[in-house]
Amino acid sequence: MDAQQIQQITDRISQNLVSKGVSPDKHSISEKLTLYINEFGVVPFEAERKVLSDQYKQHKIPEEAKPAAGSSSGDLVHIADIQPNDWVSVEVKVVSLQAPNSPAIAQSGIFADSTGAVRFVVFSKASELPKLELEKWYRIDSAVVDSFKGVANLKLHSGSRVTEIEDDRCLVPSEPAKLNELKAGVVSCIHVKFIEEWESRSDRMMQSGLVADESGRMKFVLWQDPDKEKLIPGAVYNIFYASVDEYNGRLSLTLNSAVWIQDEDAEISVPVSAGSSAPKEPLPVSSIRDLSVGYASLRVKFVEEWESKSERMMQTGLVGDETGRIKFVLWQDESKERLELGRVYEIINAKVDEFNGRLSISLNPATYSAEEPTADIAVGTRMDEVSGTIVQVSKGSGLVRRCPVEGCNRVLSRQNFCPIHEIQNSFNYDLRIKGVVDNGQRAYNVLVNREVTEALSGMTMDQAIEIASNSPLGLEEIQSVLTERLCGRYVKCFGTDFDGRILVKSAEFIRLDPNVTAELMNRAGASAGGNGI
Amino acid sequence: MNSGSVSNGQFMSYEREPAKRVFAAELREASKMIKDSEDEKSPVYLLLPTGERCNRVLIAGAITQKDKVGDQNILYRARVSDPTGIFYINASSYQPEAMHQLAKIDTSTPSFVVVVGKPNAYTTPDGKTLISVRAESIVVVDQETRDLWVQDAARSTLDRVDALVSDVPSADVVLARETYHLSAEHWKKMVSDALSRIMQL
Repeated sequence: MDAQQIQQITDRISQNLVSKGVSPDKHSISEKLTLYINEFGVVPFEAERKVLSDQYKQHKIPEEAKPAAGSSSGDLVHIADIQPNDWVSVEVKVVSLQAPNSPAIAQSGIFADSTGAVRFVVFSKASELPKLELEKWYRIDSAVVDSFKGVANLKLHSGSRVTEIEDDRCLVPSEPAKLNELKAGVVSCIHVKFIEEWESRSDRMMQSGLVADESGRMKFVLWQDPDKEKLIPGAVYNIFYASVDEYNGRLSLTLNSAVWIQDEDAEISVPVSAGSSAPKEPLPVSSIRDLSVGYASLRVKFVEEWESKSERMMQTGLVGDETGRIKFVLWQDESKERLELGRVYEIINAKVDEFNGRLSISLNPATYSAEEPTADIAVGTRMDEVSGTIVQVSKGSGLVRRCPVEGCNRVLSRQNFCPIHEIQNSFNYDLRIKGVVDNGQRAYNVLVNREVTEALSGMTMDQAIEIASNSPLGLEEIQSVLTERLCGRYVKCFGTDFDGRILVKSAEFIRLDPNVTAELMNRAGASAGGNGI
Repeated sequence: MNSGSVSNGQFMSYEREPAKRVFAAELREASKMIKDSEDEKSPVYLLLPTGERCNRVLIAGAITQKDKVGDQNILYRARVSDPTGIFYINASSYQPEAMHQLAKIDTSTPSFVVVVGKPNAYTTPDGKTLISVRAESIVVVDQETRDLWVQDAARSTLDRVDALVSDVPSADVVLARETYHLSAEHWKKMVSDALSRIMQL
């Protein structure tokens, strides 16, 4: 919601207070409205009701109204110095314009000055503002610095002022930043080599892969855009004003906002850093369960062949060992041989990649050989995967006492009573969650073991024992701690179905992916004017 | 298709009802309760305007108000706002866990909550139908979880809208088309408005 609408509500509340004989603190009212409406997504009429009712409460003890906020057209600041929630004035060049992805937005893109660059958005409601043009300089007064997931962006609303700067000035781009020093936001300039091109996973994606400089490497994405041209693999570029996005703690570059110039004379020696470059010696064989991104050797059976989705892909499917299964990919390469379904292979130095939290292996850098046709591996059962919200942490969750009789391990009742071995004088503690994970279509009962419970809740069993012994509620306290920390959260669980209950072997929180919002937005707007009922 | 229990040999094994993800602006329009049989124990469902029945919902938003009502039979009422409107939440001593959770939440500063609960329709003296949610649990969460819910509710709503305009409608869709007269476009607009509030600019 833009400042003009907030202002209107602020005025209504203020008039109401004046009529009650109270002089309103407009600044604080407008701040609270902004907090509720913009930060907490509260609908405007509810925010108005809430703030007004808080004001009524507050003025039973009359307070001296704070001085009204100073003029909003502050001093001129550099982009590098702007802070979230500031009202600022800047002199900037429009270096990139993108198609707005919502009707509420008139223009969006990137501003730059000599100190840095920042994303901006002009709201449609601010219809009196002139249309910003690419490559032109403007003085912007009274723009609001907003922060989304720690990244500043500049919002131009109907209270902002825009003046075109006529004098001819040039923007001196800053020195290229190093990839290992990037932060989420917009990077003015990087000097990188395009070292690896990846298969596009969606029609919307034009190109993706890895770029690298002397300090490191980073994934990039270029979404479909008729005005952009693909990068040439192996070439070195100066890339200006790329967006740096963070997802799951990893940074990636989005190039749609950027411009790039190939630097034909330059060569970059990309570092050979641990984990990302092929090892020279054969690695010892690991289990699929223990894999992480990098390189690994495996002894596996080829258990499932999938149709390859692209001509560049020679073969894909699942290989498995006793501990699990993993997707493999073999890209077209004349020197490589296809695998034979059902055979056991020793694979030396395969590359382990991660996409959206799932691992897969690439066989192209690896050497592999089939064992005797009689060789076999009892491949671990496929894990069930359930994603959804934890909608209930049930009774019996938390700390439990287990029967110490060997081979029993049953949960003891409050009186330390085992249904088989009766009263026990000692016991073993355990920590677990009995709960329900619900994906909106179906509710799954889950049983989460100690290790995973500790990881999800951030509470070790020893800490739980200490909390329980200091709480008047005893063991019940642990169930309520687990509820507070986990109920309502989105998780992805892996485990095996046992009698209608999923025994969870591993679990992770689902993180927010802003691309999903954009995709859903497309879906919601895709057939506007279509299928009315 | 959403029967509360499934036949499993001679026994009926209980299957928990999933929690439907519904935006406030849709829940507000719902009014029709449906029941599959006259049997007293047969579950009662609320028919959503987008054509699915539900007897449990998952909602998220900012809690804006909390009131304690009554002395003997304590009831807590709360208001939770998502980007499209208000949910009316209550928790009584019949839902002791939810009541304690709600009692503990401080509403002097805003916070995000996730609520799991049962929707109920009641009619006001002036004949309007209001939907409230009887909480089974109400937990304070961070913004990321709220944003995930908005995506989740957006996806679920769009899935329902696809089914609402299907050429081979389910019985519930047919009933919803007869009962509510809001277009697929109306719901898509609501979804895109909600999404635009969590969108990275």
